[in-house]
Amino acid sequence: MSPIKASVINEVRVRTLPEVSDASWTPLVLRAGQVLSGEVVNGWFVYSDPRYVIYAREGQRQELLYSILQDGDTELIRTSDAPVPVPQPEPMKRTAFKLGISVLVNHHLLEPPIRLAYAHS
Amino acid sequence: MEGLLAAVEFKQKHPDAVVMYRRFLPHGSGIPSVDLFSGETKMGNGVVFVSPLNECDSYCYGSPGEIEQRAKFDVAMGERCKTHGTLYAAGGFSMGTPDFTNPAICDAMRRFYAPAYNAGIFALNMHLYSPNMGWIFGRNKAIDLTDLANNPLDENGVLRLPVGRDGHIATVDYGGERAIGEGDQRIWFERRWEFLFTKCGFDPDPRLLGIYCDETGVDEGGVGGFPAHQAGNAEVNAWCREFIKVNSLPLTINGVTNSSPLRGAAIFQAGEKKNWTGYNVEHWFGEIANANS
Repeated sequence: MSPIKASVINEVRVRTLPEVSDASWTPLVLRAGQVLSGEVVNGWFVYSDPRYVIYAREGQRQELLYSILQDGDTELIRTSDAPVPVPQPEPMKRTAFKLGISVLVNHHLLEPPIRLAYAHS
Repeated sequence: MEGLLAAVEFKQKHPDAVVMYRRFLPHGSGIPSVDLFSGETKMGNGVVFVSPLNECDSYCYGSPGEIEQRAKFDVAMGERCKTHGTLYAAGGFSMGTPDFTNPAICDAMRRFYAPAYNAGIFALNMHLYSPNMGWIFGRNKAIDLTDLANNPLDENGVLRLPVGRDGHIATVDYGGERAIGEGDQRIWFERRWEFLFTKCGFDPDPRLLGIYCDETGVDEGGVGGFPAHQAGNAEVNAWCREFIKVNSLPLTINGVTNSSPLRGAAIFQAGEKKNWTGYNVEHWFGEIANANS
């Protein structure tokens, strides 16, 4: 069977087995708008994608990954080439990052810089 | 453990602050078991746990194989942290590294680090020191490039520059489009994270976990930090303002612009007055705070 394209409609978990269980759980999810190639097997999308790296306990790479196509009435993955709406990224804004201090050992020194930062903000 | 609790308590007291915590490992200890960090991975509360594999202290990353092994540890740590609601910042790379001028290193970063970053498993932690007081302001002559006998260019035009207190090698493309003197030399040190996104397959999506920097400031080989340069208050304040400015610039790739991925940075260091006196910035808390305003 040749691979087919699929589009992620709603966020769906990446699993190591075609079953919803603790044994198949991974911390990875596919995000809405992503497109990937694979096969449909019994209501699951089966794929191999280098962006999702999962190692089994033995340290070997888990090559085949599984995501369920539908959760009740909610479509999660659409296995067609039809365009799907892609979520828009958040509007670009100036980064709110702050420059702080690296404190070694003497934790009491954490407090003075942040008090000064509040005073200057 | 005392530091871990201090980090959590500080974050609870100041929830709008970026709090990074790093655990010290003995030098040369290699890659430890993930199980060693059961306390850190469960910190939660929004504290950022930065990789305990600091720089090359425990395990280095000069070859694709080393990057693969380091990434395996970081992926396992990231997954475990995520399960417990803790944000993990992988990497811990020294200033001027990894060697993004080396295609094999970029390829290894793409294969072993980018997938987990792109899947939201971890953020990345890099050290973004300036190599001297002038570099961040574009003063290319602040490094004496006439003394190339000690800093020879390789056949690809890459300058191998000993930097920092440990004298490790930073790589700077001396002849390429990002050459010294082109006005954007800061990409080689203070904004080196940009290569992750332009060369190494990292997704610039601002919804991902971004970049953290648990060590920055000035670290000039053979000299030290701001105190070792006998910097004045105005100089420290100006450096801080420039660092914030440079790292706040958006990230543009192929015409698509995203906000800067840098989430937080910390100047090294306060609290230690014996081995790291030449870097102690306790005198300049006010100047650093003022630069953020």
